[in-house]
Amino acid sequence: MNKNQRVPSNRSLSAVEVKSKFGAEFRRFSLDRSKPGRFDEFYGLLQHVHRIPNVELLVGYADVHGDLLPINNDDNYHKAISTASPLLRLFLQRKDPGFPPDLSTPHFTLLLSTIWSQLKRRCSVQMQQIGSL
Amino acid sequence: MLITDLAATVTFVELCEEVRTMCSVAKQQPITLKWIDDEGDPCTISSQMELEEAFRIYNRTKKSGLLLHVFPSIPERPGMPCPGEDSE
Repeated sequence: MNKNQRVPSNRSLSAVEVKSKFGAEFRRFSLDRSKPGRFDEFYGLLQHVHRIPNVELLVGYADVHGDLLPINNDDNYHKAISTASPLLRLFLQRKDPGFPPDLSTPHFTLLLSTIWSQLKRRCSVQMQQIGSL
Repeated sequence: MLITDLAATVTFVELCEEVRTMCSVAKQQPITLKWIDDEGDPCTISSQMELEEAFRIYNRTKKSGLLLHVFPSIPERPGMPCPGEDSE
């Protein structure tokens, strides 16, 4: 398992710096870019690091354009590793929708932004209607 | 704020013991250690791997000291802040 793997300092150039966010909690650790392992090992490592061994997670990362992309198989996991320069920002969410949403994730921010835009538009329309009375 | 010098080879277990001694925290009292990274985010340290990462990034930024926040508690649930913790 990768959970006990450490990156020696003389190989720091091949290190991927992982910064993982789950709720309000940040965790940072390094991976060896040349030996990232499989996705299921990485997934287990994330659960181990965040102390959530029984929680099913949705894993996303921010790409170079700032878009949130999923990591859920070996292909996109290795793609994420290859694009880390060297920081890899991860955003973890519970698959269980019962847990309160993370207010700082890009998805929730986008949802809030959309709701706010609609509210402003409604208020604007209602003010115009009042003004025309 | 309490200041101390520790060898860069200190282990996570040794660090916890030192912190408990400095902060007069009983052995049975759970604690949470967080360090402020180069982006200003509080990063939890619960393992040797995470401590080594903190040292590695600290060495790169060459700040005057590694700032550790010690909470005499653990989050109510994983992913939550520690009781009493806020952005300040």
